Amino acid sequence: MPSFLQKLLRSLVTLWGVSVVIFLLLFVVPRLGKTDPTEAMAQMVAGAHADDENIKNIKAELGLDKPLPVQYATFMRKALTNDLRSYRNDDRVFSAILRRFPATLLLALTALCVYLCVAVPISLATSNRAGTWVDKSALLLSVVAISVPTFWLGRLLQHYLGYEWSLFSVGGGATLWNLPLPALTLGIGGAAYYSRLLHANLRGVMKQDYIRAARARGVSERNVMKKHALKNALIPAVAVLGAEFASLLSGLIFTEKIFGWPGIGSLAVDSVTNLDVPMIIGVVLFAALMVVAANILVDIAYRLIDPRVRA
Amino acid sequence: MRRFFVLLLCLVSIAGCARAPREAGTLRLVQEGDPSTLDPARSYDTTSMQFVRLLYRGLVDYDRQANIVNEIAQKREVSSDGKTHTFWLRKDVRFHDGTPVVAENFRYALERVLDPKTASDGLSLYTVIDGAKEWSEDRAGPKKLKHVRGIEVEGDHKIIFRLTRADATFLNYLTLPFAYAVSEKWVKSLGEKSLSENPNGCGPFKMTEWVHDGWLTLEKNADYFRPELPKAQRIEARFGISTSLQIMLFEQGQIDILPVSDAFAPDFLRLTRDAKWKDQIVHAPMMDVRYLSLNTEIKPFNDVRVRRAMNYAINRDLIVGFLTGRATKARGALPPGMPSYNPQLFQYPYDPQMARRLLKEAGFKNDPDAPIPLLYSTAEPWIASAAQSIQQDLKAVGMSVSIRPMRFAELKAKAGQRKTTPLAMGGWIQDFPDPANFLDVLFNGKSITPTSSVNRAFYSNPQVNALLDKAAVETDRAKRLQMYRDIEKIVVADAPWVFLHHTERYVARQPWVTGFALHPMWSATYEYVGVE
Repeated sequence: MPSFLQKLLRSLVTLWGVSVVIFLLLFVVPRLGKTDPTEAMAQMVAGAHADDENIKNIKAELGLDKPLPVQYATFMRKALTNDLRSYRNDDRVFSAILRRFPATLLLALTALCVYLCVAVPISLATSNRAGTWVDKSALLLSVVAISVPTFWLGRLLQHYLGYEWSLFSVGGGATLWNLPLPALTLGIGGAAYYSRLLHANLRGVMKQDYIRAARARGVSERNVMKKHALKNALIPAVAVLGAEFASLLSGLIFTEKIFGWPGIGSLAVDSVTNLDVPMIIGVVLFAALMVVAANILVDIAYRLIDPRVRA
Repeated sequence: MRRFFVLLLCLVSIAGCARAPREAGTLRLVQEGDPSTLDPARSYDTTSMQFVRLLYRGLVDYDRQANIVNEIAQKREVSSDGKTHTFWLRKDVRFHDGTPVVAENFRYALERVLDPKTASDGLSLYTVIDGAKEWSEDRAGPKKLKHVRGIEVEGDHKIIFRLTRADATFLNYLTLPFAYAVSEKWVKSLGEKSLSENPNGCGPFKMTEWVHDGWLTLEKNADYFRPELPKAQRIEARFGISTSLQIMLFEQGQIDILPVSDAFAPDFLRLTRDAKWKDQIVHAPMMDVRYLSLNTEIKPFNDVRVRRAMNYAINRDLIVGFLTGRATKARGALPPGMPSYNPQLFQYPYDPQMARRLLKEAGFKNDPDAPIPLLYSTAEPWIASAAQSIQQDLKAVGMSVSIRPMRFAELKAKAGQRKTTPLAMGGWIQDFPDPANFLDVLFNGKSITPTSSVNRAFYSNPQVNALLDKAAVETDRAKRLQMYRDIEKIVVADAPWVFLHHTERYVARQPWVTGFALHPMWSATYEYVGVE
């Protein structure tokens, strides 16, 4: 248990680090290029018709004229007390994020389902046929699928499957019928990665003594695969899930925007284009929290499914 | 396992074919960004005003010819000196919560705008009302003024505005959302909650739900004072949808009305050339002007010959081409459709030889090692292409220019600062359809300020200034419009800008949409739109 507490503590330090980095990127890095970022922020809040007096007042009101450490402290205090408010519409940042969280979660979980639904059958098919043309073409396809950037794949799927051939809806809201294409876009890269991972794991597992023992007992090849090999091959796959989750989040940003899916990813894009600083900070912190939480969950899950780790 | 996959495939394909069915009476809209506010005192951007106008209404409004007509006012009168405006109100107008709309609500709305605490962009527009400035400055002050001296309420249905000077444009300011009726009781009852999230107006629609950056739904106001309006039962607007997705959704019939002014060129061309959609696209002037400001206080642009040469040197057909034809070449500053617009006004032709001759006459010396900086904003993609094209055109006549992209805010600060920026790309869109809103604001020497100047050419011609001041108080409309025509002629001859083009607004609509037409002032008037 102390190791678990240690992990928790380390996660908190990570989150704090993320908050420092995002603050530096927003408020300090532009200064290296001799521009004052708060000027543009205040202008954004003030609107196109504002004069200098307005902008000065707004800067003072938002505390953007204070020294940097004070600004950092203010942002963090507000973030911790859920008092961080959007520059655009006074919406509470974390309330806005939580309101959009279900849509993002649905999309992310569906994408994870795509991972498994595609990766399991492919890896089962290829692990027995290592070196044959089936294996080689699967390898080629997965290399392509892993390399394709989501923003391009998304537009491609949307244009052909959605617009030209009308097989699926092109998007435009968080509904079930809008789900297939974004889920596919997000899922294909991960599915390819997982199919290779499972393939390698299965090949390793198949050489184990307990598989030979099962075969010797006369268990059918099908059951050997399903009951003995696959289960054990999946264990390491769970371990990478935490890291995979982070890449899933980054893919969400483009995918949601392309398909007009009203989740946290499109919120991130909108807040960046609007220079809505509190929202940017909120979204980044929330994403960091998600990654940290996913890693802790994976840790716990790993203990549950693999008795060797528990011992 | 196999059965599971078959089932999954079935589910996915069913889901794929399913679409939200179209419902008669429901108008479906999409937009990239959502309104920043629904508070009439704070809405000054196109998206916000478009929705605020569906929720709130004012004393006067424009008809489709840009004439000012009565709205909640049923009678209005101007005194002969042009300083006193009196309005008598309709008696059958109610807020969405059922309370009647009275004269007091209009005074309260304007006092809210004039209160610096509201942080309204409209504050400076209404300081022409007698005592408004004093009231605004006294908000926290010692005098404890109860009301603005120049706004007088007589009973429930009469309101009088007294101005400090005659101002021919005052009625235009009353058509803006800033001056729409707001109930003081309602605002007070909200306490800490914002009016923006809890609107209560007397407009044709009521708000049912607004999720920021997500969607906004409006529902017909059955008690609207014009019983024949609105035509639709519901409006559903979705936000955060990119322009290319918007077009796909439109072509699939999932959106009823779609502005395509900003659509990507290939999408726009596909739509306008498709026999199915060609006739469903309408267009009208955006009522704006795009220009290259020539700082008349900086060498070499203090010489009128150089400024004219610039107008001859630049090929505006190319720039219109970057916009896939969604623009008309400018003659002067006033866009087509604007009162006083003069279709016979002199237009500088594209004539590089003439430009070269004028530059030579002016004794212009080019220094390729110290090119003149040209500032432009990256806010709209076409501007970058236009800036490059201008750079090429000027090089061809022997003027070296370096182009500097920057954020809109930065451009605004630099171009508005005196004696700083020789060349900058600019644009102006009307606040209301009156020539004063262009000529008086952009070319009067009075509007030159040390920083944030809207007169970006820092142009001041005493003759023009005097004429502008005279036109501003002229009460005879025909005479006044003629005065602006004369003023524009002088301005074009003085060439403080390169007059580039006026944007054209394009909107596509489905065949089942009725009653849709473009308006010279408002980006949309959805109360007239029906869905069959």
